[in-house]
Amino acid sequence: MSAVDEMGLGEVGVVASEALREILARAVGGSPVASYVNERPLSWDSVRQGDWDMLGAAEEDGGAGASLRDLVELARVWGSAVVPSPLVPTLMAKRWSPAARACAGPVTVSVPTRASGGRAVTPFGVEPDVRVLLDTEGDGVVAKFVVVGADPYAPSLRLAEGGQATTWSGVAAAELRVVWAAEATGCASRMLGDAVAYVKERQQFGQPIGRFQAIKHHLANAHLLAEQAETAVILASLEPERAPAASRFAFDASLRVIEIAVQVHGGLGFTWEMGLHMYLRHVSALRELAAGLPA
Amino acid sequence: MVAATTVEGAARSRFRRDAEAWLAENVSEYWRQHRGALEEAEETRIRAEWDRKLYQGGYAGLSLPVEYGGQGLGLAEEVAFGELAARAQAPDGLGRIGKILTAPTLIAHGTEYQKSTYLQPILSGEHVWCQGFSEPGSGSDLASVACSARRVDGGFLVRGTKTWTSFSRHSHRCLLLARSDESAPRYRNLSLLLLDMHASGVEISPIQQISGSRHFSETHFDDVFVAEEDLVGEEGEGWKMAMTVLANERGAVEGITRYVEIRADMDLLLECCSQPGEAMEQLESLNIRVEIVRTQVSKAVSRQDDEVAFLRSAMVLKVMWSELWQELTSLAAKLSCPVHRAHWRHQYLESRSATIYSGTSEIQRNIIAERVLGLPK
Repeated sequence: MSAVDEMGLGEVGVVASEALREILARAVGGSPVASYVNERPLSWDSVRQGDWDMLGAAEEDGGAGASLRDLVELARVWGSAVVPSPLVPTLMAKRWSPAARACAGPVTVSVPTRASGGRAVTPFGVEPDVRVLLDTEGDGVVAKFVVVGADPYAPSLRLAEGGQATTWSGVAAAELRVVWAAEATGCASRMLGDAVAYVKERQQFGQPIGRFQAIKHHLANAHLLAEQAETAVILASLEPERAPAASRFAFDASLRVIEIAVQVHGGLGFTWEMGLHMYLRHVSALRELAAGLPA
Repeated sequence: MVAATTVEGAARSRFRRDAEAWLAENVSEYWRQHRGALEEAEETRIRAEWDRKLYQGGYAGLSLPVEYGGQGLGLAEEVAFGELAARAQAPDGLGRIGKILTAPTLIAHGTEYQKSTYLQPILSGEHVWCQGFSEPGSGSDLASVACSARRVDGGFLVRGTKTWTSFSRHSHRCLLLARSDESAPRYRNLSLLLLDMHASGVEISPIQQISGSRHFSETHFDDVFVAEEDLVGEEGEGWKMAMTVLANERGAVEGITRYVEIRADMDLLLECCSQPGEAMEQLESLNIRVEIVRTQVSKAVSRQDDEVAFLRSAMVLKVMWSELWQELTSLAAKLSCPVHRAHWRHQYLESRSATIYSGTSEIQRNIIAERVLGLPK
C-alpha cells in the first residue's frame, strides 16, 4: 500500500475514497448524469448508515478524523459522479460544528455570492428537511432552512437563493473552498475519461476521430490541465497559504477540461440529453459559491 | 508498513540535511557572485571541477547501482539533490549527458568491456560525453537519421552531421545514433555507437542562438572510425535503445531543476513589478503554476512504483515548465522595469527554445495523447 504514503494521504483517505467509489458505482454506475440528476439515486439513509457524514469530524467528536488531504481525495471521487446529495456540505459542517453533528439529517451552508448580487446562495436549500449551519464557529447554530427562491441552473446542486447566510471562520471558509475545488477536479477527470472513450469510438472520415492530431492535442491539453488541477488541490490541502490561489486555478482548469470534453463530443456535446452540460453547470456553480466564501 | 515508511522518511531527511550542508561548503562564493559573467575558459574550468567535487563528495550517479560506482539511491534522492543544488546555485557540471544518458544505457545494454572502460571516468568527471541524435534533417522525426555508419574491417566509418550537440567542444566521447543498414526497414536500421570525439575527421562548429548565447554545436563526421567493441547492443537495435535513453532525459530531475530557476525568475518579476495593476491576476496565476510544477514533480516521484500512474503525472512536466517559463518571460518583457530590462530581454529570447528542444511541445502532446491517453496512432 504505497498509496498510503502518497503526498500526505492518510489511511482514512485511501479506504474511504475506495469505498465511496464502490457506492457510487452501485448507485449510478456509468449511466449518464442527465438520467439521474433530478432523482435521488443515493438516499440520505444510506449516507447515514455508512457514517459518511461524520468522516471529516475529529475522532474525539465521534468522527473518522479525515485530514483535509483525505477529504480532497474523497471529494475528487464524489465529483466524478455528480450525484445530487448534500454529502459534501454536511460532512464539512459536521467537521466544524457540534450543532451540526447533533443533526441526523443533512446540513448545508449558505454563501452570499457576487453573481447573485450578494444574496445568500444555498446548495441543496430546496431539499426537504435540510438544515443550514448559520455559524461555523463555537457551538454553531443550525436552523431549518426556509426556501425563498429556487435557482434551477445546476440541478445537481439544488440551489436556493435568499435566506440567511452562514457566518464563516477563516479556517472553515478556506477548507470548504479547497474541498469544492477538489470536487471540481473530480468532475474534470471523469469528463476527460469519457471524452477519451468517445473519440476512440466515434468514426468520421472512415476512422476514429481520436486519430486526428487536432483531437489529440485538445485532449493532451485537457490531460495537462486535469493533472495540474489535481496537483493544485493536493497543494492547497498541504500548504494553507497557497490554498486560495491553488483552488482558483483548479476551478478554472477543471472548467476548461470540461469545455474541451464538450467540444470533442461534437453535436452530442451540446444536447441536453447527453448531459455534459450538467458538469459545466455543476462546476461553474461551485466556482461561484467558492468565490463567495470570505478570503 | 508504517514503520518502514518512517525509517525511509528519516533516511531521506538525513540525506537532504547532509546534501544541503555539503553544497553550502562546496559551491564557491566566487561562482555565486560571478556566474553568468565569466570568461568561457574559466566557466568551463569551474564546471569541470564541479564534476570532480560531486564524485569526491559521493553525489555522482545517485541513482546508479553501487556495483558500477553509483550511490544506489533512488529517484527521490536525485530530485532532492537537484532541487538543493539549484537552490544553492551550484554549477551545472559538464558530465550531465554521460551520467543521465550514457551510463544508464551502458548499464542496461553495454558489454563488460564498455562498462569497465567508460562508467568510472563518467562518474569521476574525467570524461565528458555529448549526445549525437538530432540532425539538420532529423528533428522531431528522429528515426529518419541519415548519418551513416559503414562497416569496415574492425568497426565502422561514420559520415554525416549531428546538430544541437551540447558540450561537444569539451567532449571525449559521443553517444551516437547512426544508420548502419541502408536496406533494413525503419526503426531497425540504426545502431548506437560510442564515438571518440578526438578521432580524426571530427569537426565542430558552434551555433549561436537567438538570445546570443552558444549552448550548442553542429558536429561533422568525415569518415570517423569507431571500433567494433564500441557498438552498443546489437547492430540495428539503436532506435529501441535511444528511446529508453530519451525516456531518461525527460523527467522529474529536470522538472525540479527548472522549477528552481523559474521560481527565481518569478520572485524577480514579483519584486520588480511594483505597480502590477492589471497584471495582478496574471501574476497570481503564474505564481501558483510555478508551485504546481514543484508539487507535480513530488506527485510523480510518489507514484514511481506504479508505471501507469507515474507516466500520467511525469509526462506533463516538460510542457508544463517550458510553456510556463515562456508565459512568464513574455509578461516580464511587457511589464519590464528599467532596472531588469537586460535580464528580461535575454530571458524572453532564451525561453523561446524551451518548447522546442528535448521534444517539442507538439511532439510531447502527441506522446501524451498516444501513450498516456491511449488514442490510436
